[in-house]
Amino acid sequence: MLAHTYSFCFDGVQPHLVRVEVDVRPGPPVFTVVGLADTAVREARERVHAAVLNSGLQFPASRVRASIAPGDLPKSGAGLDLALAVALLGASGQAPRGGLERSAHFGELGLDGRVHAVRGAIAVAESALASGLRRVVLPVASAREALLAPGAQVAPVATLGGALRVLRGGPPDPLPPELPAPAARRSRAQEQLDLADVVGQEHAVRALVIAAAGGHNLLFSGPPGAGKTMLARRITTILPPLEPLAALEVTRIHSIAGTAGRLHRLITEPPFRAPHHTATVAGLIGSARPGNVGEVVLAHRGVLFLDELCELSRAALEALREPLAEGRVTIVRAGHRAAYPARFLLLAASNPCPCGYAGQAERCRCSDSELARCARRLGGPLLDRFDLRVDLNPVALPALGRNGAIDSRRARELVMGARERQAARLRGERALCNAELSGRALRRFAWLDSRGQELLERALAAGLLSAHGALRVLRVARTIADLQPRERVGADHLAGALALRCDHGTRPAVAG
Amino acid sequence: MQALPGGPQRGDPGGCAQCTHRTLLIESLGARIDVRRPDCERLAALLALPDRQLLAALDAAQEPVGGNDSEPQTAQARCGRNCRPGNTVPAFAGRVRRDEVICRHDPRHPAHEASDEPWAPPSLLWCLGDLDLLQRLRCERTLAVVGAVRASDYGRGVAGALAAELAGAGVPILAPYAEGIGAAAIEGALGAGGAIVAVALAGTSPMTPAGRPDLAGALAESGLIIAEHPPGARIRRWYYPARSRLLAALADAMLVVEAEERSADLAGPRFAAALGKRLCAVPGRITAPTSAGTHALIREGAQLVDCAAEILKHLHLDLSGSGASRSPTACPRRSAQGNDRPRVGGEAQRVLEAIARGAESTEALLALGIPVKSLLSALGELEAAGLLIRATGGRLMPGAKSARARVGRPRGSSRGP
Repeated sequence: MLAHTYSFCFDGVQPHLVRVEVDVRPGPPVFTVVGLADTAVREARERVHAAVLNSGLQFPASRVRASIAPGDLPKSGAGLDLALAVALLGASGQAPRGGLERSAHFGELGLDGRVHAVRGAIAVAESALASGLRRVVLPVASAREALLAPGAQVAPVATLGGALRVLRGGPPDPLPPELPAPAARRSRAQEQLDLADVVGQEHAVRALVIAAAGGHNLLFSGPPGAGKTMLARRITTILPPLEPLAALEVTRIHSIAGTAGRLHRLITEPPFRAPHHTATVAGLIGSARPGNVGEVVLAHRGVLFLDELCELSRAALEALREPLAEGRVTIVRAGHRAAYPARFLLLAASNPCPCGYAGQAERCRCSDSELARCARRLGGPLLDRFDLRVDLNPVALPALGRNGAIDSRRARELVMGARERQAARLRGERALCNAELSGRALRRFAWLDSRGQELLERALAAGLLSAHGALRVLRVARTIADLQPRERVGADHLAGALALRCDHGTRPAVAG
Repeated sequence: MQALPGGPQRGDPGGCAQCTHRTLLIESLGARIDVRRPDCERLAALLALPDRQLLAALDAAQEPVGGNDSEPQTAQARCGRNCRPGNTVPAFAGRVRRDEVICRHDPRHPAHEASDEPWAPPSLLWCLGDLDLLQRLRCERTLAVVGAVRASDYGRGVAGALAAELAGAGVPILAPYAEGIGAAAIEGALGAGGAIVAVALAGTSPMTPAGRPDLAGALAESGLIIAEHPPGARIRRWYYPARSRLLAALADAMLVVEAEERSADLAGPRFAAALGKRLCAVPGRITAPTSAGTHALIREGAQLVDCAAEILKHLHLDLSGSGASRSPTACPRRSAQGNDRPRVGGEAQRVLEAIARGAESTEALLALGIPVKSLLSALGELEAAGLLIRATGGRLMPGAKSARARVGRPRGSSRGP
């Protein structure tokens, strides 16, 4: 007899609907699975076999063939276990086949017949809804997450027996109790971070506020101990919460990557990812392996913090260029192609030279060639992506007694105000924030007053800016004006943006 | 490979047989010349010895380099015979295609028809670029700008600015073809469109140390690179004091911008003083090791200079009657009085004064109580006006257009925007 049901495979962060067919015929007792199945799927045979028997059901002593269609899509993961098992039960006459064909099953089986949690439940529920399936049967541990997808029809089951009961028209298993709200379980360390801790480096705080308000990429450069990392970590305290659609998108990505643990609510805080500088290209942008979501994708709609930017491998730095320019990454490997969203704010910290003390004649022992090598490593095209750069120096002792000029609560209000003004202005545009403004959009939205125009021309004439650099400075000036708030970009805003611009070289211009 | 002619000939790619022979002799003895302590005077005395005495002094009489053959030979043949075992000169004859070689019998040679020079002029000079500049070196009062390879931003900025001003005023500039002060001076002089002669260690091989490959093309285009060793020669330790001796001897005055207190940095300036050249030094902070050497030189009698006009005075150049191009109008101290200084707002003015008084980082300015928003605006405004330079590591320095005299001495009469 033949039976089929539906399940899902992941290609990148995109779930694909697959049809799981099982055919049971008289013959020698052999269980085969076809359809480009990977090891995890082929091992499903053992789990299904044991789970069926341990649930008190019959495993047919005949020839069992399973096919997962479409046949040319590589299948992977243990989420197909449940679909294989129920299709087998349908084909052997132990489950009603009508119910099977109108629902999707997604879950991993234990040998004892229990259904274990899976990654990507929310994406599966959305996809099932879009495919017109009546319901999707999911493990109880993943069901709350799947219910976050608006309109999802989810039947949580705890065991294979439970899945059979649902197929026969019985009630699903109860949902687990809801976890407390994320704000309540936020760690104390996170709670204690505040911009007010930053003393004597108000320019860096100002840059953080501008970066958060306009979505500008920011580079901190300075010697060891200047407080680069300490500053960067505090950006999480001033970013505005995610919009509902963005929250759903971020939740889906983190559900598939399995980085967020049990999700009982949408992720509304922008993600903050800080991969170590020894990260590989596959770790940064992801690889063809399903579920291996890169850091840039995990940082989507949030912040990617790269400490010791100069120490990253050349290949890793090169790989960052596509997501920075396009807002997504495309992974092309043999027989595989996947595009992931990756729109993030890049926050980086770097030593200005190998010893870290460039510019301090008393301490820096690096030669011109070492400085040039360090500058080359970052490369023009990558450095070009930073709208803001702050050179940091260690703060003198007397300043440490004071309190910072602005605390995170106030800064977050400023940021949210600026974001609202941008959203109102950019309604109907492709750009979401000032950092994404195109040259043409800038001409429409960043009018300079006459003094600002004069200052811009002077900076161009002095050779401080390239044409491209001028656009970046204008974007930042637009954000500074939004923070104030002013509708018109003035000379003061432009001058502030100039002071925080990202230079190309580390060499001083020779005065002449 | 063509045979070298026996006598001096203009435009010949080699030198005369006598000078080629002498150079080859020194090249082949290169490994034996050892200056543990860089000492230009001792080195010059050694290099000034006639062939036989030189061989004897270096204990190399048995070497097959002998001074007895007189028939002209191709440089390649000589190299092949003498230099391959020791690997001192890897076939330089094959690489001279772009460098022009002039010998002491060539009237363009700086030591042409000179005898008994205390600085042991090189027999051959490898030149690349505008050879007319050699003539200017002979006829005009020239300045050598030298200093540390590992220079600070301050040193680079000062070397570049002074070289630009003096070159712009018509003074031919000599500088070592090296990183740091040398590269900054070359860049400054090139930028001002002045006459610049860079002294390389060997031929037009890459700059040693090789920090600024970008300068070679510009130098070959509008300046001149000279060297007393063939291109591709293995760089020996004594080449450095040998270059310092050339710089000291070819210029009429030497300006030391930054130097550490060690013999490698100070050998050249001391030799210049010994040759009777005017020695000028730029002061720095007493805490900076890169200025310890210049301070030592000033203690030993070098002239302290802090602007281009001072240097022109020491070069004994007549400032008044020599035409507009020679008058040092770009001197910072003078332009301070002029009205070409861009106007900036009151807050920016205060920030600039604080920077000139030593608040060199944004953190230091914030510590003075300047609010961050107006500080950032002021910095941007100052930089756009050319009054401020943001150097490596975020260090803030008054820019070329800033009136150093006025800001540094607020009691002056011309204070105000």
